[in-house]
Amino acid sequence: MTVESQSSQNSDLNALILAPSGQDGKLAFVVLDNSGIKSEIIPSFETLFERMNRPCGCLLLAEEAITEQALKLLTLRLSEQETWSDLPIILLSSDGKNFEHSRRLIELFGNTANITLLERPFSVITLVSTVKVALRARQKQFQVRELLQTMKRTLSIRDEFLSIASHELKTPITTIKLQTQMKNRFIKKGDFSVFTPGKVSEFIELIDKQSTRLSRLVDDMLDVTKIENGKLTIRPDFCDFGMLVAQVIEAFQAEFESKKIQCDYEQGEKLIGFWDKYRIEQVVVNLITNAIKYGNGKPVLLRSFNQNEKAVLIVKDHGIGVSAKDKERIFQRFERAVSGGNISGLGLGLFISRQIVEMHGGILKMESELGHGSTFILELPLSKE
Amino acid sequence: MKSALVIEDDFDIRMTLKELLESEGFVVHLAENGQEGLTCLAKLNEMPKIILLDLYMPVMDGAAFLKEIKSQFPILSGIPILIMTAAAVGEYPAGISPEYILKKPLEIDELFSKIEQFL
Repeated sequence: MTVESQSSQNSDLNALILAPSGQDGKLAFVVLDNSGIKSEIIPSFETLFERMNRPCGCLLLAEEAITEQALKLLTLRLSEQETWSDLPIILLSSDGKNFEHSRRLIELFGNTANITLLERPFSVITLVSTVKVALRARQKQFQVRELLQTMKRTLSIRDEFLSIASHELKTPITTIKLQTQMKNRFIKKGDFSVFTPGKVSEFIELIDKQSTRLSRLVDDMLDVTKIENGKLTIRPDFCDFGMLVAQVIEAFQAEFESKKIQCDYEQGEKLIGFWDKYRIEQVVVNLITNAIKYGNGKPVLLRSFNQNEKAVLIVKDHGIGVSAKDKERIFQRFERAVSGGNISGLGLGLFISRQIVEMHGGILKMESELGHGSTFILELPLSKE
Repeated sequence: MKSALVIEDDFDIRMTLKELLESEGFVVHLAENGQEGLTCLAKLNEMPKIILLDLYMPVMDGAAFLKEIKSQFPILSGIPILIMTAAAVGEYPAGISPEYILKKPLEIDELFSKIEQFL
C-alpha cells in the first residue's frame, strides 16, 4: 500500500495532527484554522495509517504519541513512498531545552523521513510558518507527480506511435527492396526478360509510388510535430473548391478502378474561397483515402454545395462505420477507428485534417453508425470578394 | 506442382511476392487478409506447400488466422507458415517460433532459404 495512491485536489492536502494529549491537538487545530490552514485531528496511529492512503499535506506529530511499534510502522510506510513523494513531518518534541533528547528523537527516524523538529515551547508564528512551508513543499510534490504522469502518458502514446510508424514506413520499403532484389536475382541468372521497356516502366512507376508513399508518411509525422509546436502555417490564395475536389478525385481514379469502387461526385455551384490549396487538397485526399480504406469496397459519394455562405463538401461511404463512442476519438492524434493492427495507417490523417480546416476558420465533423458507413462534412468559409 | 498462399493486405507487396514466387516455379494464390486466406484454403483442391502470412491485416489479422487454423482446421497445421512482420523482436504474438519469422523489409535470399528449409 503506498501513500497517496489517488490523485489529489488542493483541498485534500491538509495538515494531520497526531497529538494524543487532548488539548495540544485542539489548540494546534485552532491556531492553524485561524491562519487559514486546514487540518485534521487524528486520534491514533491506526487512524493515521488509514488516512495516509489518501493525499495529505503534512503530519504534525507529538513526541508523546510515538511508541516503538508505531514508529516502526510509520518508517516502513514512509520508506514505501513513490519517488516524487516525501511527506513532511513536523515533530513536536517534549523537551526543547535538552539537545541530546532532540538529537535522539531525530535519529529515531533515520533517513526515512522528512523531519522538521519543533522544540516546545514554540510560538504560534513558528508553528504556522513551519506548517505553511511544509504544505507549500507538499503542493510542489503533487505538481511534480502530475507532470510525471503526463510525461508517462505522452511517452506511452509516442512509443505506440513509433511502433505503428515503423510498421507503416517499412511497408513501402519492403516493396522497393523486394522489387530491386528480384531484378538483381534475374540479372545474376542472366535472365533479362524482366527488362522489357514495359516492365522497366512498371518497375519505375512502382518505385516512384512507394517513394511518394514513404515521403507522405514522413510529411504526416512532421505535420503533427508542427501542429504540436504551433508551427503549422497556411498560405491562402483564391481557390475554386469544385475544381479542387474534382482534381483530387481524378488522381484517385486508378485506385477506384483497381479496387472496383464506384465514386460519384455531385458538383454544385461555383465556390471560391481564400484557402491554402495544398492543405485543403490534403484534407480532401485524407477523406477520400478513409472512404476507400473503411468503405468495404462499396460506393463513395461526394457532394459540394453552398450552404449559408460556406463551401460544404460531403464525403459519404457505406462501409464499416464508427461507433458513437469513437466518433470524436478518431479526430485525435494517433487514433484510428479500428484499434491495434487491423487497419494500416498512422492514424494522423483526421487529426491533421481538422487542424488544417480549423486554421481556415472551418469545421470538420462526422456522422456515422457502426456497420452503416460514415459521412464526413467539411465546411469552409467562402471568399467575400 | 508446388503452390504457395500469400496472405498480405498491402497490394504492392502481394503482387511483388506473386511475381517473385512464380519466377521460382510456384503457383501462387493470394489473399488480402486471414479470412480470405481461410476461404481460399477451403476452395483449393490441393493444399499449398507453404503459406506466407502478414501479421497486421484488416478483417482478420495474422494472429487470428493462426488461431483459427489451430482450432478449426488442424488438418492444415502441417503446412509451414512463414510470418512476415515489421514488428520488433519483443512484439511477436505469443507462441510463434522465431525460425518462422521473416522480418520486413524482406530479404529475398532469406525468404527462399527458409522456403527451402521447410519444404
